Amino acid sequence: MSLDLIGIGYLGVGAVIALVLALVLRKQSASDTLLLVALWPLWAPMMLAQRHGQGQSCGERELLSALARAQSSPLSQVLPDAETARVLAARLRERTLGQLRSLRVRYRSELDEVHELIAQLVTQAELVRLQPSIAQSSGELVRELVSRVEGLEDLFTYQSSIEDNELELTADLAR
Amino acid sequence: MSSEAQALAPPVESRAIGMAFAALGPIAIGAIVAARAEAITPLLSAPAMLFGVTAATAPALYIALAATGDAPPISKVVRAFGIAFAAFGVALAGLILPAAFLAASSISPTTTYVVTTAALGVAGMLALLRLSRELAYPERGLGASLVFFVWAASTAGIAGRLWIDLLQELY
Amino acid sequence: MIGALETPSVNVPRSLGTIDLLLRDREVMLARIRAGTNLASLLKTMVTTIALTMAIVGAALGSYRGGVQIGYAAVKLPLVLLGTAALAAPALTAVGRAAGRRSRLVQDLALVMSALAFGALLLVAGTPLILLGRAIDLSYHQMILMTVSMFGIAGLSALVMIINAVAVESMRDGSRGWRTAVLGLCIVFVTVGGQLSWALRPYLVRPRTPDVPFVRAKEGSLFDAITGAVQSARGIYEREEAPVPESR
Repeated sequence: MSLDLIGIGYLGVGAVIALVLALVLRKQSASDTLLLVALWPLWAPMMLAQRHGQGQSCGERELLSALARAQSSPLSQVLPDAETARVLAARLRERTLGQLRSLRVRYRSELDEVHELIAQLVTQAELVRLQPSIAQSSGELVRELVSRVEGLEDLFTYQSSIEDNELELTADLAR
Repeated sequence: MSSEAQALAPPVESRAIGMAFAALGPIAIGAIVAARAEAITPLLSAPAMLFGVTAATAPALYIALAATGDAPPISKVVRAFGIAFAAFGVALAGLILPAAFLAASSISPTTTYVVTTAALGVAGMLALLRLSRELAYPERGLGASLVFFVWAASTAGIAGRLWIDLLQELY
Repeated sequence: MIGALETPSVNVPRSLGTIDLLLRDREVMLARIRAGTNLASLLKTMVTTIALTMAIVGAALGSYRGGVQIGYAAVKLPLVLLGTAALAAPALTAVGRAAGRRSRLVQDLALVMSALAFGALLLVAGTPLILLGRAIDLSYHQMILMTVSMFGIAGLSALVMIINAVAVESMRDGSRGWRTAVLGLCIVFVTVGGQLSWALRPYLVRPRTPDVPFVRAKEGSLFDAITGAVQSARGIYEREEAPVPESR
């Protein structure tokens, strides 16, 4: 079989997989489609895993295996059993996701307010151009804008601390 | 079963996926050979050969292990075979694409037969090692180890011979 | 007034940050892969990195002959590495799982692609040497040796990264079979990569070559060449004699 035919066959399989996943998952970006057609042995499992949240349960598996290993130790009396640990891990993940969801809502409203302030500032700049005497009153508007942007930065820091804590927790449990 | 074995055993759903691969994998390998040889026989012979030989020799393993006085319970033996089949299927699933590419991109049919034999051989070897480990857990005597070794060599030999005969017929 | 606002620090795109992490702190990168954080985005970044870096390396190799070979090699080298990765990477999980390793397909794929991207970045760091070889008119065979050495170093570095990650993971979860998994990956990668690169040759071409095809005509596979050599060594020949050059 010539290399051209092999290539066409490979891309054909990728196109079929892309079509099937587009119908099943419904949500597929252009880059996903391109990667599915070109690199379907790598990208198809990734897309399916994303759908089933496979990547998020790594910490849960590590917790379960750590608990299993600790069952023979004196601490086994105070450690949760496998089922309880599974529930706890799921709840922790839900809480973290809940926090991130509420942060996202807050981002959106903060960003909307920042956009509004910028629009006001642009209008003010036009007015100052026509009437320079009102320049001083724009200072308050600028101060408001700066404090909003700093507030957004605090939100970003808080979000990454949540994500870091989750990573740290996973690493500690695995140790 | 100990809690560690329970925690570390493959989950039931991934075993089911492995069994599905074990059913389809030999068909895929047979299809690669069938495409090269332009004959339909390998498509059906490959799975029949592999599962037929294992099904025929598996009771002999249990009887021989029982005779050494080291036989695990029948449920454990069935579970171990299930895990081994799943391991065979999963290993073959990862080797089918490379084998298909190597077979399709070569001119000589020898390459096709070598790569398909290698894929089946590697998957089979891994499955036998896994079966050995599952049956041995937590420990196994020398007699039982010897019995398993002889059984594994015989089963691999029979299946291998049938496979080689099939390839020689086509080549 | 607007100047009262502090100049914001340079906003580095996330993908560049990932590549920086890959180069400077692979332990953190591997921890991120183990935790399963944002693997889809990581995989996209690694695929793009491999495509771009191998295109640069291919162009550098092609510049030895120059002309259209620059473009040909720039297109073919990314195809070789990405194609090999697509066909061979799942073998790490497949063989490992069969051998008893507690592996996750997506984490393993992310690991293999990250390691290959690291190797590709090392290769692109060596392109000045390739260009120097052209500049000082190194002979064709010397260039071949240098290229093979560079690819060997990059490949070994990628392999060491995979071994470290897999070994550490195995120590933590107590599962076995990681050595079998890595060996399986190596064998599959070498055979598929060897065959694909053979099929898409040439890359480094002698400067005096008048016309270069995009790929050579299919005379056989790498394995056909090896089996032919084995047959010849056993005294089994397919033709009466080797062709001799026409006397002028």
